[in-house]
Amino acid sequence: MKRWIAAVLLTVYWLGAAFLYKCGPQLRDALSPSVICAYAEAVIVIDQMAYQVPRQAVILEPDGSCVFYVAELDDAYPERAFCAVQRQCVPIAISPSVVYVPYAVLDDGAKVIVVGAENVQDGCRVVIQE
Amino acid sequence: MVKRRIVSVGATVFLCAAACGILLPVVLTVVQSLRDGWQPYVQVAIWKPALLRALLHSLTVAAVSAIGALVISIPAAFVFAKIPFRWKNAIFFLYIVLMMMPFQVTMLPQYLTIRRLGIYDTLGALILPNMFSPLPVFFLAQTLRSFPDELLEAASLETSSLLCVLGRIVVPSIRPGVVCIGVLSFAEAWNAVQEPLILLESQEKYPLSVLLSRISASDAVAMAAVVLFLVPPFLLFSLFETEITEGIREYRLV
Repeated sequence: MKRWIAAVLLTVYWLGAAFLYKCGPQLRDALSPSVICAYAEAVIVIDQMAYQVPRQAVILEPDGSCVFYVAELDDAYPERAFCAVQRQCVPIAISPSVVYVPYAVLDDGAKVIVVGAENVQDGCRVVIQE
Repeated sequence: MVKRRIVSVGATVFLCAAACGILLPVVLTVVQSLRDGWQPYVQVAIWKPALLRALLHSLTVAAVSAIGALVISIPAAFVFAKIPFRWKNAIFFLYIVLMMMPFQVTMLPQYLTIRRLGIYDTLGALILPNMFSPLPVFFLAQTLRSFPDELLEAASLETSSLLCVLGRIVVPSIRPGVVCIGVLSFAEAWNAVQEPLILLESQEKYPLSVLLSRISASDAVAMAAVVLFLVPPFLLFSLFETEITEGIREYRLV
């Protein structure tokens, strides 16, 4: 019995992963508008050192828990950015033009443009559009 | 009597503590991944296509490596165990030496060979070395040494095909050992980190074992990815638990 359950779960796991990978773009397309709308009102908490718009790229994760990355560009390594929230270097895809037009590239290659940022009490409110 | 009881209780307490120590990181990972409910899992499943792609790469590499290792190692082990030929012991000794060598020693020659073969930066670069791993050959050869020659002689009266004898008589008889080696090969390929870093250049071809350390997301999402990474080996062990424990116990594989 246990063996059958394991076999079924394993099959479901892989079929599910393959299905989600195959149909992921359609699912993301279907879900994107509401998610983007939610981000527009999201508040991120950053410290004073990191808050130097537009010297930063606001890297947005499509994450309901509102964990956004405020990345400071490293002049020596343009392909790297200092992540102020996690305090670690993460290789992320940023265009050199990000200094003037901050945008982030999501995992699926979609670009998210930051069209505005304003101070709030303990952080920065970002307004974005796809 | 009292002394024996104290030792028994002490050993039980120690083993329970050790078990807790081993299980604690797994439990903490699962708990942390569920901190925000199922949202992190949805996040990984839908919004992190890179992770899903890496998961499928991991499956391809681990499954093909395990099946390939069995296809290669069963006949090789049979030859080492049952067919006399010149330099057999010397070649088998080489296998043992190779098995003892850490990956770092063979890393550079392996890298150069893979480049020469023209499969650098492909999943084949991870699969091929795993398929020809000396470990399954060594253990299966040890297992087959105790296989009764009388059975082989009886089988040879029925058919002249060695492959037939292997497939119909030998493999079913040593099934626990074969399954155990298959699962261990799968786990070895599944958990590999160094090999992909050396043999792959494109990040989009990385398996999940490598990508796990590079997730730029919240802790809960990262932990959800770790839990999803743990699931296939766990289910595989549940599926073949009897064979694995029997294989390890009877053939002293570990």
